[in-house]
Amino acid sequence: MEETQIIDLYFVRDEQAIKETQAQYGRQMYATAYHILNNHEDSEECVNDAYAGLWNAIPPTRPGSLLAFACKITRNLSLKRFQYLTRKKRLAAVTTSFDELEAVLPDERFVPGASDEDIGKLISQFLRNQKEEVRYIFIRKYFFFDPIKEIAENCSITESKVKNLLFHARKELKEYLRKEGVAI
Amino acid sequence: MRMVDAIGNIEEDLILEAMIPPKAMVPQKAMVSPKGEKHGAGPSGDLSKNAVPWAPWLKWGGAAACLIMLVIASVILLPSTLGKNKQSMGDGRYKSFTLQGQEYTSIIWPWEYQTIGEKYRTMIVNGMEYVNTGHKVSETMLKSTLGTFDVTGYDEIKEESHIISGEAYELNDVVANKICAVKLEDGYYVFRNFEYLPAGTLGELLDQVNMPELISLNWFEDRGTDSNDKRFVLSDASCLWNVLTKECREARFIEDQMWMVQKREYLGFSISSEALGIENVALYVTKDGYLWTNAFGWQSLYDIGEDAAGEIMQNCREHSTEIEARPFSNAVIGTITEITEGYFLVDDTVLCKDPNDGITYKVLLNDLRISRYVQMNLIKAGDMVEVLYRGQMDEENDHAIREATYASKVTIIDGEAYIFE
Repeated sequence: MEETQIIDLYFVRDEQAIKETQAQYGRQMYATAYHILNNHEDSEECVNDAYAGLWNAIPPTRPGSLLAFACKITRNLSLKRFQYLTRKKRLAAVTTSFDELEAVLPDERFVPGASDEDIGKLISQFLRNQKEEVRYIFIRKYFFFDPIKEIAENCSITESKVKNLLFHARKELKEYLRKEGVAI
Repeated sequence: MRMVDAIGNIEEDLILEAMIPPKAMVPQKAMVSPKGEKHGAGPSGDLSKNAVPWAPWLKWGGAAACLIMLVIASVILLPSTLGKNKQSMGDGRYKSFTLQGQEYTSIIWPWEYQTIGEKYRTMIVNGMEYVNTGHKVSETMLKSTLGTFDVTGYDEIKEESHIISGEAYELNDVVANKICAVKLEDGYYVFRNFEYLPAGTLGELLDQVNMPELISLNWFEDRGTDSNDKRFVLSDASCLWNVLTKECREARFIEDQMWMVQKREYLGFSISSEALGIENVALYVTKDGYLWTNAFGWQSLYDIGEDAAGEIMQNCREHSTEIEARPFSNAVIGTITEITEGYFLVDDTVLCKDPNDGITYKVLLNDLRISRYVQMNLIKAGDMVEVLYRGQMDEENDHAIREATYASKVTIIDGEAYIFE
């Protein structure tokens, strides 16, 4: 079934929409959650919550891409769950990504009133000006939280090359956000 | 965490683009021609610019037009769909396992590897667009001819339109401005009017479409008793149709896109219809007096009243039998042990607690939807695959699967340890 047809099923409140989403994108949604939570049960639960989130959001939202929209919802829910779970312990792979992003722009350095949506648009604009491979590696690392090793294998480059590209991308992003007036 | 949250708001086309590595970074061996020859990666293309609405990462330049379009996702874990299916698939033979591995997430097949129903999708009649449902209808369902019209298809790879002439026919028991049949090369296909034309009352809808005659009630679930998750079949479909056709003709169409069946008490029917080109879609009767179906592509919601709904629900409960739940789609998983011109064999021994319990399934290559995976070398002997199929497996004859529709490569892990790759 085509993606637009699945979205139409959501609009007519047909529960088949969730089955079709699960069949077509459940695996990517699960992988998104798993890279953050690193736990099968928690990931499954987040993906199930994400289906409910899709059901509640569509309509009125008509996403341009159901897959990207589903991954966004899964990511947000997984991060919330991660924060809850990591009150007691920290999971190394994801918290490293958090720390790296924190270094780009610490929470207390955001200008008042700058919304996450606005900053998301600025980051999108920044990424569009990057080379395709940088864009890919950045999003895989900081949106999907893929391990460095996995990104390196998928791109057929070394892990140190991935780290190097990420380092320069973070540095440029920091400067970009400062110029755009997002950072104090 | 603000930066982490902000990155969660990056634009969706960028997220989609990141579903696969840039072509320049991927080893070229992933591309295989229909003849099995290995090709280069072809001209590089900006995936985001070439996006198509339903599979934005699946475009390719003209010089590589002979190549199949495929995406191999990175390592993934398969969620609960298969987890549930495997219970019924294995009949208790299977050990606990998780599937992980590469998968062809979506494929645009070369034009010559598409079925006729996949190729030719739209037709304009009297200014209205009709869309191919992909379902065939038998000749006995045809009424009179409507004339000959252009039927259009689009080759996504070569970016070319194809137009053929198709004889359109009115169908028995349904008005042509809702549904018609079109004769294509290998049969008559159901085309549905894509315009939004809801009937004002249920009576008008029944006049347009003879629903009792055309719709099969496969099974229903009862959300209102303690029988959640159980499925039932009706011994007499008139339990539903008699009330709808005799008592509910004046039921008004309700324009409410926010209407939801959740939190209501209802009977939910799975329905199919050859003439309407639908299979396993939904029809609900809710205790608070609504009839809802998506049998016509769009939501059709009618206010039939609590009395009629209650009568239907009571009738159906009194004239039904519980049946065993079946998975939505049938699947087998195992290792390909042999491929011939007419079939390939899938052995599921690797999934079994006792290797002696393994079964070898014979997947017939009589259908382009499955044979193209072999012809394009997407699956080969030794691969671990998941095969989806329709209809019944013939357990008496080599566990033959006669209508396989989809295949993908998978890997099995037992807990955290790989046991097969």
